[in-house]
Parts: sequence; structure tokens; C-alpha cells
Amino acid sequence: MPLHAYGKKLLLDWTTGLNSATSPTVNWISLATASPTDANAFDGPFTFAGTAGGRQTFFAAAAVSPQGYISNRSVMTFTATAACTAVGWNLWDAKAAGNRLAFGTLAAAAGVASAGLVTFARSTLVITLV
Amino acid sequence: MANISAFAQKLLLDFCTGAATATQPSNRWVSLAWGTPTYTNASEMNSSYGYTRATCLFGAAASPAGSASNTASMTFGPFSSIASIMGAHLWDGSPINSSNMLWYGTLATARTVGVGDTLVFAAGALNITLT
Repeated sequence: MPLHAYGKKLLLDWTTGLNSATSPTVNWISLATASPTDANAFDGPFTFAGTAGGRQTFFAAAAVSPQGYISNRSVMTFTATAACTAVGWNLWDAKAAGNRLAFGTLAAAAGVASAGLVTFARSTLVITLV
Repeated sequence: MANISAFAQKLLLDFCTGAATATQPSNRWVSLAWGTPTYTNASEMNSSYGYTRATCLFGAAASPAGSASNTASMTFGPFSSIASIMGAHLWDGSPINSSNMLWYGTLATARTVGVGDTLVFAAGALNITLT
């Protein structure tokens, strides 16, 4: 899981005692139409519950150890507002704006028509730290 | 990518998601490895070699590089036996063989110490990165 520059500093400073940030209570996922990078999220034309921008709440169960991963504990469904292919994902600490924590590429790209759905069944969006 | 222990992987993931309580380490110590550490096996040198874990202080992480390093030197020893040192680890407690390993890695150059020797990590010599 590539960490965004913000996420790297947050986690390093938290672990080394340089900040006392509190854990976010909720995360959000957006879908990207290209493999995200540190510089560009490439968020795609998706919506969730009619909200433009398409970030959806990501509810994770406690991380699994020693494997070191988290996954979605609820079904996540994104609606495309234009034909596109979901290639990657971004993890945020806010529903809009906020900070990007991490990003990644989907194991399999998902092409959809306008109004088509990209759905992640429970435990299928798996995020690992290493 | 940093070598993150199983404990720290869970800690950091739980901190990011809030899905479980993640307790921030209150202090950090460094110890030495006589084998190659892994994310579940520290290969920590034991205290019979005459050394103890050293307190480690860090500066603010550099961004966007995503790295942090020690701000003060750390001295191990003097050692009471000859030893080959392959790696080092960061812990959330002390003494040796206790607490939770956070990060681990191999030394850029393995060291062999003799009786009475010390091993010093100069300020800035211990670097942790996240990618």
C-alpha cells in the first residue's frame, strides 16, 4: 500500500512521538481512473448517494495480525456518472477535501458504463501496509 | 518500504482506520540483532553480551520523503563478549526481551565487536522510511 506523503509523515511522527494526532474515526475511499500517485489521485467520475466526488465511507474491521491488512466490513457500491474504468483507489480522512492517506491499484480494473456500478463485496477491498 | 513488525503493522493500520484502539508508544528504544530480523522474529542480542537497549529520540519526519532519524547518538556496550551484529530494531519498551518491536532492519555494514568495545549510532545514522 503506497502511503501518501501526508500519511507517511503522520504515521512516522505518531510512532516516534513527534505528534499526538488522534486516530480518525472514519475513512473514505474514492475510485481512480488511473493508478494514483503521490501527486495525483486521478479520482474518477463516481458518485455515492448522490454526492459528487464519490467518496464512500470505508468501515474496516480491526487489522489482522500478523498478516497486516484491513478490509471493508460493509458492501461498498460506487455509481459511475460517465463511462470509465476504475483502476485504483484512494484512502482519505474526510468525505470531501481532507488529506489523502494512502492509495493503490485494484487487482482487476473495473469498466463501467454511465450509471453503472462498481461494487466491493465485504472483505474484498483489502489494504496492506507492506 | 520500511521493515515494519507485525505488531506495528496492526498498530498503524488500526490508527489509520480507528477500527481498533491504537496506543501511541510513549517511548522508543533501540536494540541490536545478531541475526537478520524479520517482522516476527527480532533475533535480539541478549543482555549477557553486556549491553542494554538505548533510548532513541527522533526528529520530525521529513516530507515528502517519508523518513525520520535519530536526533541524538546512541551508545551500546561496552560489550563483555565478542559478537557479530547484523541489525537493529526499534521497540516501545525496555529491557531486552520485552515489549513490542516496531521497526527492524539490517545494518549497512555488519559489525563485529570485541570485549570492551562499544557500538555508536551517531545522530542521523538510524533512518526509518515509509514508502
